[in-house]
Amino acid sequence: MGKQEFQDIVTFEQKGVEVIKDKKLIDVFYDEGYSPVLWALRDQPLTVKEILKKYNQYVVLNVAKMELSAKDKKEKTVATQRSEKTIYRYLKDLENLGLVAKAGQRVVIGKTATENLFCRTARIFLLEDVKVGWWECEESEVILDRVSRIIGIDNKGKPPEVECLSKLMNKVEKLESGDVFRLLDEHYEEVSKIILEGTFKENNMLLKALRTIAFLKNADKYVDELKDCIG
Amino acid sequence: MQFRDIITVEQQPVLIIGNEDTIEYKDVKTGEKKSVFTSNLLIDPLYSPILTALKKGPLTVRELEIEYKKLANEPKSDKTLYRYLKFLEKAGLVTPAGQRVTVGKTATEALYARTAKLFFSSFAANDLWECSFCNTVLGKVAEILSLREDMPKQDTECVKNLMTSVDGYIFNELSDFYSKHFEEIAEITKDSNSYEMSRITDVLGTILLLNQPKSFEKPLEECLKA
Repeated sequence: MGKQEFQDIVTFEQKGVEVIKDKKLIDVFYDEGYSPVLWALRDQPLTVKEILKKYNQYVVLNVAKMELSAKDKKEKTVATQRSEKTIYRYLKDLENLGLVAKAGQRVVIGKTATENLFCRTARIFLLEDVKVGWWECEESEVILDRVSRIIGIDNKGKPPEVECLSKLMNKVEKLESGDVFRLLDEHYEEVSKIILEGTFKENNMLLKALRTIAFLKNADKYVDELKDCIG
Repeated sequence: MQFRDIITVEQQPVLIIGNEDTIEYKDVKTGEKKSVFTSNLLIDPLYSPILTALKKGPLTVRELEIEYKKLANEPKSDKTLYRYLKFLEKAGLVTPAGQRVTVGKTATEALYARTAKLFFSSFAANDLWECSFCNTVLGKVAEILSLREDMPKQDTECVKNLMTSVDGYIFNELSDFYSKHFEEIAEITKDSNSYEMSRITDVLGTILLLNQPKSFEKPLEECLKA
């Protein structure tokens, strides 16, 4: 579609940050069906057709990360890709949960009918306890096993225990996320305004910097775990 | 059938790909100019089987056809694979590596190889907080940090120095370590895709920082009290 063929009329006012504390809502962000919709809408309002396209792209990229055989990857991709009708149902559910809203209308020049636009209700959803526990799952075990062997190269041939690395990374994640979460939660209004000024990429870098600073502030709290692991 | 491979290129041990590195191409269907992040090619379902297959060493297109089918569970013609190889060559990930001479045959076959044993994707490889919008982002970081009651108004330059020294330290240490031990690391990560490689790099970076907590104590303290 060419540049001048449509115009988006956005009427919904999006928030900068929404802090999510409700466990049931947090689960939605890890749901295999809903999370690609929220991912697709991270940048701008989209029509259902556009969401569907991004949704299926997300599935392909996500399955590519999995430790599966080529055959299983192909089957998983087919099984997790969705139809336009299903996306519409997901959008309705997310709208009822307050995570997605009707953003406005897309007017296609020369056409009477408009298309609905959808957006996230906030640019950034900040989840309490996000990712804590990820370093204990099966997916992370493969990664930590390789990390352990790599560290072993330079550690007089003594690779650290995977379990110990898992504990260390969990603590890092917990303290780092907790610190950033508190900061953003306590100053929600001001942070929201700042976040709304930035693009998705800029906001990602902003969170990266805040996490690094939170990590450095807590660096002395990992001494025991690090000693147990690396010696 | 007896053959001999004449290898004419020397593979680099490690190739560092910046998170911002892109490659431009023309869309075959629309003729439109598009671009893709080089690091994304490492996990692209169309291209990654080639890069995985070439971890074994230089291969001909015919050999790649067999390996690709095994890895992707989908056959691709030699013509398609040749097109993919050209694109990966343009992205700097694959290179023509020499010729296979089959005994008794006049014609030789081209060999292809990865440009490096290890591909390592890093944010710091590009500009280390020097991008066009980096100052804006760091200004916002400073503004958010200053919201804490016990902290005075932050200084962008100070946050920039801190982030540059932290990310620069991780980048330099990891680059040295990967270059020094590329053989062992290539073996350990032979089955890892780009996503796993980036998580592995994240954990190693975290551990590197934890080993040197004192190095950043002062710049952090200065920054938060600016």
